[in-house]
Amino acid sequence: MIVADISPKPVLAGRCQIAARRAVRARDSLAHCQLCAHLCGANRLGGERGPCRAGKVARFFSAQTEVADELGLVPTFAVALSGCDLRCDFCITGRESWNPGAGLEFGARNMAARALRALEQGARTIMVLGGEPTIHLPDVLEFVGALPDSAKLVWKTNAHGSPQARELLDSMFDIWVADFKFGNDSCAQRLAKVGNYLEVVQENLAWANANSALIVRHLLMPGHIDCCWRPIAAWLASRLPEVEVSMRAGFWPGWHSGRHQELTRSTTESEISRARDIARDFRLHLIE
Amino acid sequence: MNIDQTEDCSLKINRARSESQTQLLLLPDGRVLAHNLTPAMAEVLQQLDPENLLIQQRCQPVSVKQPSQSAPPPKARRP
Repeated sequence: MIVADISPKPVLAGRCQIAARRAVRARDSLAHCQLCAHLCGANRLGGERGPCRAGKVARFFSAQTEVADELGLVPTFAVALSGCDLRCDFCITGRESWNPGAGLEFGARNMAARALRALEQGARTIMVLGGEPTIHLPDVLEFVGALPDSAKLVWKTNAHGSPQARELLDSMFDIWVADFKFGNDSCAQRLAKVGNYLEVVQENLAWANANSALIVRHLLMPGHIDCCWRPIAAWLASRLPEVEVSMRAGFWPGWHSGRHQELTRSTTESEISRARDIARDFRLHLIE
Repeated sequence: MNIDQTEDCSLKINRARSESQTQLLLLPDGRVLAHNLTPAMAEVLQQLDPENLLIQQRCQPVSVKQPSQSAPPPKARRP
């Protein structure tokens, strides 16, 4: 494995002004929300709730400097927004990710001030994550609009966004860290209650790779090396052979993992070793 | 769409973590998993397992001051 050596593609000059303008558009779009691939059309401004249950204002449940992400990104000031459009039973932050009402009101300007202080104190990047931040794009874009263009911004996503979300996000973040969780639609449906997973995620990954620096992240799940990791590795080798891949081995059997027998334990050393062999066979560009 | 909302609490929980937090999971085989790993906790883990390369790598770049950190007490940090 090698340490991530991320070379961010240049963001737009005047990013903060553009982000502020897009934030207005994104806010208006909540009247018929199509930010994630569910395309539910809920009028979030009028009080309706779609599958993510999110309203019109984002909340956050964690904001702190962390060092557990890819080495090319840390220390990162990580801001975790409440709520998500997926329902992964093994979500390590399920209590907050399944509940957009968790935590405190986001407040883009105040959070930007905290992020800038973190940068002054040694953080290298600012990471926006969730839950899933795509469902909160209006607030996220306000946040980006309050940060200087020089700040290195990381977009951590489940890659289940819509074409509209991609348009709003274009050139806003220096680096995308995108999950590729499931290697087939059956596991995605069973473990995260999401349909048409592969097509949506692969489309988003291809777009992100073409438009930004991209790290594809996969959390190895116990019992899912052959059904999930192997086909993911094969697809990445075939379609994104140069992309940096972060294979995460620390599966944490929390939240509703107990609903699935195979998810009641962590991955074994044997599974991790086999997963590394698969990565080597497909000549993936693994990073730590 | 078939999405499980029975567990989807709609109550507002008016709290976020006011202090930095890391969660640790100690596995029976001796492995330690960390979530939301802060620089300070990375240093603690490094002291417990100085040979662990994964933790070493995450301590080396850190020069972050976290005055709100409640524990452990402040220590000298590598530049």
